[in-house]
Amino acid sequence: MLKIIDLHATVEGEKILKGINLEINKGEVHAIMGPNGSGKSTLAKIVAGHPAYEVTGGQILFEGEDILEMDPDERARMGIFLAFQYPVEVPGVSNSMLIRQAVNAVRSERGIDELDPLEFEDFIEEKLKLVEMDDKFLDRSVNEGFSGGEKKRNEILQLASMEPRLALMDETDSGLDIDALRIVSDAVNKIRNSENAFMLVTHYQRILNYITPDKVHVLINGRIVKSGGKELALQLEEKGYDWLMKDQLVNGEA
Amino acid sequence: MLLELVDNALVNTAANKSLMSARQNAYNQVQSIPFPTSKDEDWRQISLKPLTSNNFVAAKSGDVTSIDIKNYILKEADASHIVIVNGFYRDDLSNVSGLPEGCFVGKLGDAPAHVVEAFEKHYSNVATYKSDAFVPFNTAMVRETVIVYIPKELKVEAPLQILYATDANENIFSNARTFIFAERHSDMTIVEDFVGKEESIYFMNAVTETVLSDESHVTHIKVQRESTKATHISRTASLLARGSNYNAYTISLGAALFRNEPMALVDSENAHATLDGLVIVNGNQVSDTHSIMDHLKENCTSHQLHKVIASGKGKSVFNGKIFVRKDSQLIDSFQENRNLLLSEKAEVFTKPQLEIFADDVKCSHGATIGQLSEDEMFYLQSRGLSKTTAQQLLTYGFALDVIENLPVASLREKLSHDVAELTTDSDVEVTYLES
Amino acid sequence: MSTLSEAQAVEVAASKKYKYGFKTDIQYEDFPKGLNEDIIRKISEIKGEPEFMLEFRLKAYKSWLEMEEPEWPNVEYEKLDYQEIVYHSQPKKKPKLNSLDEVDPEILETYEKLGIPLSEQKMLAGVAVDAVFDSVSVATTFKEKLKEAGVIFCSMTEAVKDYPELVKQYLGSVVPSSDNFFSALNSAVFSDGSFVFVPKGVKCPMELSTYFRINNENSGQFERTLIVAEEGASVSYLEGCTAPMFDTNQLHAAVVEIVALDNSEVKYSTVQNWYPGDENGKGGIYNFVTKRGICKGVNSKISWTQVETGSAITWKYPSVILKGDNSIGEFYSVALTNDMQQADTGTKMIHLGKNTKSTIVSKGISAGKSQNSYRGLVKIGPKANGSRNYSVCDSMLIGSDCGAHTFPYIESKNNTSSIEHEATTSKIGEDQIFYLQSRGMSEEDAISLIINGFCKEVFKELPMEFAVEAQKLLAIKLEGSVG
Repeated sequence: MLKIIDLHATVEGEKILKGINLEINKGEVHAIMGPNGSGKSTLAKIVAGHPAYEVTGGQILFEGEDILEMDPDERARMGIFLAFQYPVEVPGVSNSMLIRQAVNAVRSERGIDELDPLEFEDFIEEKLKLVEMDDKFLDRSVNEGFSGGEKKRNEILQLASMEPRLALMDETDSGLDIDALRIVSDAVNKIRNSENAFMLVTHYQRILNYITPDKVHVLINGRIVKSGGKELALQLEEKGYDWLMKDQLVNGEA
Repeated sequence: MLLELVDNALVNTAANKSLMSARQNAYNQVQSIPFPTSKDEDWRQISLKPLTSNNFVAAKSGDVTSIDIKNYILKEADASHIVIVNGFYRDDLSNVSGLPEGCFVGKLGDAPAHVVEAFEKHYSNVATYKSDAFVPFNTAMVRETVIVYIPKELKVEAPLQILYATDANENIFSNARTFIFAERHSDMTIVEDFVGKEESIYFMNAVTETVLSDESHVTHIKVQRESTKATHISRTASLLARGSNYNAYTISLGAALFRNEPMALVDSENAHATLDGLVIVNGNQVSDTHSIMDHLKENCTSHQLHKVIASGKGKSVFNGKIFVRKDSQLIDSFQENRNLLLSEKAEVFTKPQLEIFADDVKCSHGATIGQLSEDEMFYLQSRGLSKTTAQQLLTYGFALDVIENLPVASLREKLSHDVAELTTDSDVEVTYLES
Repeated sequence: MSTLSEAQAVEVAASKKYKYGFKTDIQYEDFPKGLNEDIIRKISEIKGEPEFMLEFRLKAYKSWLEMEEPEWPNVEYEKLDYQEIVYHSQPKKKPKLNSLDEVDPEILETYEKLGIPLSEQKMLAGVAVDAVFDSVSVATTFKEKLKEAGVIFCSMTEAVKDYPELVKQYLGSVVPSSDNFFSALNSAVFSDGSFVFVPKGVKCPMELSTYFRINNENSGQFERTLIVAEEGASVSYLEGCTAPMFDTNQLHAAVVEIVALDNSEVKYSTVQNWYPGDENGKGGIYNFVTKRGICKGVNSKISWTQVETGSAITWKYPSVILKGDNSIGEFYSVALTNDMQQADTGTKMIHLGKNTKSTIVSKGISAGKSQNSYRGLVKIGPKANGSRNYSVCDSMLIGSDCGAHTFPYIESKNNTSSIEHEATTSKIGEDQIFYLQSRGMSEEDAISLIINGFCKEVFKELPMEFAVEAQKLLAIKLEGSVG
């Protein structure tokens, strides 16, 4: 589904990604782990098409198609979804309006009838249950005045509504208390199926106790230095990143 | 009016050739620039009658007759102060022995060559106020400019106090002029302090120019505690180079008419300017601040907090302009004007202005005119404080966030007392905590 | 004449975002260019006005002669030659119209094209329309139904004839003829406009609306609107305006006066879309308008809502004088400038009565090479005890060649009143655009959504259809201005 080949990227002239190779197939959940500043969030944003990053080399293929030249909205309509680490506030724009527009954008791309406001109400009710959110959130401006946990749940609500093929979750677990983490994880587990895929960007393995990954990759200093199964995450929990950083240094010098 | 006061003989005295030509140029400007009237938008809210209706005469000497200079010298500036009386430089009352080597504070005639060079390059080029002749009048007529030069890489620990005192038995006018030059990576605090004989009528025309080189830090405090019958016209202009930091605080307590025009020209990247002010007007006092914060280059920040307490028949005017010039991107500028209007006859006029010509900026301003919060008053009164005490405390608290930023402890203390005294007519004793 | 044929004009308009830029070919009866006492006498005569009106006009003309065009607004433009303007222009047809059937079909067609159907059966339920074509009111709908309710809604010309006492009592009572340069000019030469009178205790049963259209190239438009709400009355009034595209600048100098007596309420909404000139600043309307209301009675309320998107130059400060105790003044504004447009607009809230309240919400959007200024005055007088003002003025910049300016004048002479003013200026948020794009929206839709969110507080004050129209208008105006 997603194939990243030797991806290099910079932001304001600084090299952030230095040759990433990664393949995610449908039905899979991949965790991207790494210390702060390793480039893991950058990777998620580049796949979603954030304009601040410049791709200086390599390819990103989604369903076999090179997406690097595509605008973020084209990618979203193709089925790539980014759950933001810091969801943006959009004053004056109601949450329900955003979600309905987003859902209809995806539906029309897929040749499905758009939802009218009444149909949308039924549709969203189901999704709200999934993230245990009150429908009053729909009437409020997008993320404005939401607590940290509410913002993250709102991201998952959007994820559930847009039904993406590939969901990129950028540190969704950060700042969540244990209950919110459970709600978010349960929702993801319900959304997860054999046709979609997830890329979980995270610093800690905590969320992986709830969402079992198929593969774990460790990203350090712009490169994937180690890949493995879910047991790798446990190893990291125990030993931290230092042992891998040392390895990386040795490799770097060699 | 200024034209009548110009004295050709005085204009033609100067310590060097370039100063002489500056004075003569300025003299010509005084001849050609008309005196402001209340029809001018910038002078609409105030009357210049205190200036025009008194027949001011030139001060004849710098003799001290009735005020106690020592009493005004800040503890921290014990060995770092300059005293000017009626525009006359008083070497005998000044003491700058506590300043570190390389730091020059004094008259142009005594200045070393590199200081003269800096002076000649910037003098009169920073205070570019064009709409009236107060600055040219000052340039042409000032007896002595106080020059402050801070060498590079030097942090001056003691604050420098420049005391401009007016003490005469006639209605005199005088000019005060300060020129501050901060070399690269230098750091200094300068207090310009204006005092006068109680109840006396005089006209003080003050101009200060501050030039900040790269990465220098200057804290500039202007304390205006003139006689409540004086007129004080003030222009303080600063020019900021890359990475420099200019923090200016104006405390206005005295004068019948105070017109202050601080101007920060943020002319290089990564610089920061603060132009804070505290104004207290009572009786028939009028205090008018017209400030300009001008962002000419990218990546700069600025902050302005202007607080006003108006009581009696006092009047406060605030006109604060923030400019962001074209292509000066990534400017973060914030201006806040808070006014406490405490009496029936007091008046407050405020006009904060944003003029933005670049798009990637974050600029905001806020202005309020109001009273002490009823809830807060009630809270304090319910804790047994009298109404007056509660008022006094809250007013003091209102003023505090300007005062507490002043880096000179004895000045903070002194001002806290003055504020307390000015904000109440009662004799209630309140002990204030030093912050 | 350099005017385009209608078909050409429509085509050009379609390609250029100003879709109202066509001109309707109709025969005109024009006065000669220029202004003097004779012209004024002739205007008055042609309208069959009573003596007091002629006196009103001549007095205004005399004070205008002694006035100078204001220089203080933050706009730059080539001053007009006031002797080159045609001060009265009317479509050549029967001067008196009894029903819509008698209106020139060309004019009716024009209004259809503008989306303002005049024929009553097609009307949106509950909106009565007065249409002013160049200087003359051509049709007023629903007159009869309104009459039943006791509401007078007619052209100013008719009002002068049919209700001279009311006109005499209120005309010029809020905006004196010598108030300013443009209001004096208007008072001297105004040709038509709308008159609304809602008597005691009557709630106007429908929205009233006037549609202004400048069609003739050399004519100025000087309409005059007067709205009076008697004790306990209420009315909501809407105005819309468009003009053809000409290379020359045309003057629109209108005056609107509102009088609100005890416990009455008047709501005045404007969607202004005069031709703004081309992207190089050629042509366009000079929109120099004086709008003022007085809350004369206790508990009265006047609310101005404006969406200003057109005109080359806008100079306009809808104001409220809060004279009656407990009266309320409101000003909600969206001003959008693009290309070479310049706007200097805002409001004045003058608090005279006790416990008066005012709210100002101003949203400025600058794009292209335009300059957009908010200028507002809040004044609390010494007797206005317990009064409150709250103002918020936000500016958004799109692109690096435009400017946003905020000039609030705040004055208080009362120590029991409070004023709060806040203003911000910022760039349209790139992170917001990306967030919305990542939810499947195109960049243009994302921008449009952000702008609508930015303006929401103002749009919610507009009647439904107007709000939708206004949102679409902003989207069209901003097309292609980002990126």
